[in-house]
Amino acid sequence: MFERKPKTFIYFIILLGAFLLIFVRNSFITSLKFKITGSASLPIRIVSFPFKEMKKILFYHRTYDEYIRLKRDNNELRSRMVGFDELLRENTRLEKLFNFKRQSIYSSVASNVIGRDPSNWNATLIVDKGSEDGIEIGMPVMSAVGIVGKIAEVSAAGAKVVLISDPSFSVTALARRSREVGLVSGTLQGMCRMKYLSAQADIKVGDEIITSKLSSTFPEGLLIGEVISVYSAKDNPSASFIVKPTVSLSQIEEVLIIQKK
Amino acid sequence: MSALIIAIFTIVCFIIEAVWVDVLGVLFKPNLLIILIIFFNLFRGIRYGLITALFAGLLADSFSVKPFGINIFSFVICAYMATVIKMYVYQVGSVVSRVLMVFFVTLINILVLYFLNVMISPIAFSEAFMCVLIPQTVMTVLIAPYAFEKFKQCALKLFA
Repeated sequence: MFERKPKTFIYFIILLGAFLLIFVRNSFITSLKFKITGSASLPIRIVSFPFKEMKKILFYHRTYDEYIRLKRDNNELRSRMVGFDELLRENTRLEKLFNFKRQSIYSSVASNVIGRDPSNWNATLIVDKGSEDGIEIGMPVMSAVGIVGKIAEVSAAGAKVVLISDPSFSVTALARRSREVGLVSGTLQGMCRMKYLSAQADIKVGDEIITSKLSSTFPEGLLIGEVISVYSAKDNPSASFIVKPTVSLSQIEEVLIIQKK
Repeated sequence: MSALIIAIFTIVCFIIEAVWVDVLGVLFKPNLLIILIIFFNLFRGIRYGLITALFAGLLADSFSVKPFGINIFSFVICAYMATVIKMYVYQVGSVVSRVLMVFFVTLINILVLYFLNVMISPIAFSEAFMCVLIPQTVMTVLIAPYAFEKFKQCALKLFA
């Protein structure tokens, strides 16, 4: 292979071309990617369907436990909702009285998950709403229980969501209890890591982590997850915390894409 | 016609990987595309290995949000390295030598992808070692003998 032959030169050109392709930015490539993912997603979903149904049957006891927990949480939330309508009316009345303007108003678009990246290095979902539905790059994506990620690529009829467990994702966050601020980013383990905190930061296992108002992408106060472990080396001035996402990212089937107005 | 057959093989392997991730999770997913590249390299030569690498990279990059071309570049390197490693390791008819080839090429693929991904976002090598290198290499090597047999059976019928 290393003798001087025209073929070796051609192989080198192919390798060089593949390397230079990494630096090309073109809308044609984005549309080509979505055409391929759109074509491949349907057979993947068809083949996955019987296996997923089998998994649901085999692990029915987990579904039942989850149902009992959700029913209990629902009853608790209903009891808290009593009186909220009145509070909302009073809030609106006071806003008008003091001429207080809301900084932003959010609407959302519901979208179905039609595929996911099978790579070990990425945590990405493909959803069935695109620029035709008003979706733009950078829009936050949520589920009913917490944040899922943000829009990374958009085509006319679809979009890709980079999940909070992807190493390239990051969001400014704070601990709900102690209000310590840090940066949450994804890891290859499917979890998140909260970093840039001092070793003396008042964060314990079990603390809830929410989005901070310092984040330009996400509205404040959205639930990210719960701290499950602390990493703090001796003589190290900083600590990092492993956060388990609230949303079950491997099982998510529907998402809400938040549109800022 | 050969390119179409290679494309079909690649798409089927990609679908199997995607279904595996959907149902069982990503941690112990085998890299069937690498096995396929090595298979075609051994079965038909470097040209077929290269075409397989290009199709596999195109599919993988289409589903990714990382810069387009990362997987294509990685798989093309693997196709070339499979030819180099073949000269030193491969013995015709030896399952062990084929598995060794799969082991080395999978390692190369993971290392290339690690260095390319690190240029985009920080990833600790220890994390990549525990979460990608070990599980993917082990599963790919375990699946390789069975996968080679199945590929050979299908390829003999289709390329006849």
